[in-house]
Amino acid sequence: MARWRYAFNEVGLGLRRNLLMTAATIVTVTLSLVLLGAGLLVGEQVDLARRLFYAQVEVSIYLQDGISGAQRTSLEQELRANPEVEDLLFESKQQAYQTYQRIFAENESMRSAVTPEMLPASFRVKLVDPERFDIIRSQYQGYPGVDDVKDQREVLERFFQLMNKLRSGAWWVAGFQGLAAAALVANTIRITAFARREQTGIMKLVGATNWYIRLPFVLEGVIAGVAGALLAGGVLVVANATLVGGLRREIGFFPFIGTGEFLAVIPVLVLIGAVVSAVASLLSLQRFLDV
Amino acid sequence: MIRLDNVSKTYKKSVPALRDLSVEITKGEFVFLVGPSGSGKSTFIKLLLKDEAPDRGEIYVAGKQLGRLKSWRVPALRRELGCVFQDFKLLESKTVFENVAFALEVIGRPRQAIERTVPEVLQLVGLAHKTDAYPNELSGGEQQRVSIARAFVNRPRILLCDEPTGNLDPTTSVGIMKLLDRINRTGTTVVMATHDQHIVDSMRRRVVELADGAMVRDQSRGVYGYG
Repeated sequence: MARWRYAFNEVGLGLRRNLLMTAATIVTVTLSLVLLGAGLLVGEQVDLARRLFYAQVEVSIYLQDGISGAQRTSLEQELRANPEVEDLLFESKQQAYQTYQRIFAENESMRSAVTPEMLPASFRVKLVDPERFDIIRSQYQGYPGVDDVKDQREVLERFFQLMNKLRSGAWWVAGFQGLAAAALVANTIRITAFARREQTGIMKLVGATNWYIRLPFVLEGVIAGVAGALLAGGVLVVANATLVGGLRREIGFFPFIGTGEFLAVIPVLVLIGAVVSAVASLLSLQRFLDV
Repeated sequence: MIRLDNVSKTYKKSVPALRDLSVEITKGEFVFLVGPSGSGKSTFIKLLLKDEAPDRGEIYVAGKQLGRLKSWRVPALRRELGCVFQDFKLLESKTVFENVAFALEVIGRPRQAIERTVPEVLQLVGLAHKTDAYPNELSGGEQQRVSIARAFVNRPRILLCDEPTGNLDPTTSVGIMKLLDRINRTGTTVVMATHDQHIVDSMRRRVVELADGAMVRDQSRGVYGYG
């Protein structure tokens, strides 16, 4: 009788230990896939913003406050004659103020902080080839009445570089987390295989094929991987609804990726979660269930 | 049915388990493998199952040359062999029926065939009335009968028994031997490793004796030993 009680205790203990291990595995898989998914989404965000902004971003030639009417007219004529320039728009102090008010429509403190006098008038120049900004700057920097020539892309480019760094950071952490997740899957499978060693021993003896013996273990690993991936998908969807949703409302002028992009990432995460945990399970069984 | 040609096997850093062993067992034979613990009886059985590979020599089992058998063909070899062990190796969470059916399920036999053959083999081993019992509700002799039923349910050509009566009292052992004898009479080759002198002496079958991994006696209608 004592023998049976011991056996049952062992099975109970194994189950509890395994439950904890499985939970830890799923959480680690989730974390690593959330980071991977976030990295993918940041990448898409950068691509989207770059596409949309580059279509409209111009070179700004800011004018000094004391510029005379004649200076302005001569500058405008010269710009129109320049073969590098595709399109030209004058933005007065008042227009700049209105644009500013529109951008910060929801931010009272930002709006009340400026007056039309504080903003410079400017020419908005669209170049035939945005890459040839340097030529335009050398031509008009120091021109009478010109305060500064700025490529708006420069500001954005710095922002994009920051985003790209964030993305590679997320991927590095996701990679290490992924390794930890794979190790945990392998370990969980090993514990299960150990708990069922009697059963698998009999299966081998009566001539069950290797695949037949391994399949349930691999499936267990894959289920943990897919569960983690689905949880990660859930986390991303929640982040989309709260975090990115809030940003969308707050910063109206900036193009943000939508719910569609978030949902499209989930199948990718599920696939990666399933494949990685299947491989980890198989490698872990390789040593345990050798013929 | 079984042939060993000059087979040697040494486990890591230890004395040889088998030394230059050559023996042939023909179809339908009943062979006792005797010798003290550590004489190589269990290694002999493991080699036949391709659970271990010999260092030297060649082994033929059921028409297959084991040295040339690809690992993915090993399950096919084991389906021709039945195995019975001293410790029964039954699954505690399964009933008698389920334990026997398990051996057929995991090699993909259809449900109908299982429903038909399991009761037959339970009838053969005399446990038709215990079909739904769990192993812990059975005596040692009954558990060994379940184990034999599981080994025989797929009608293997060879039955390998490693100390099948090692955990059983003499009276129960006689019953198990009668069962193995009956299975042998159906044409199944039986190889039984044992050091139960009484059983070997009373059965009077072929005896192969091992000592320190080498064969010291091969005698038809033999007894356990001279001493």
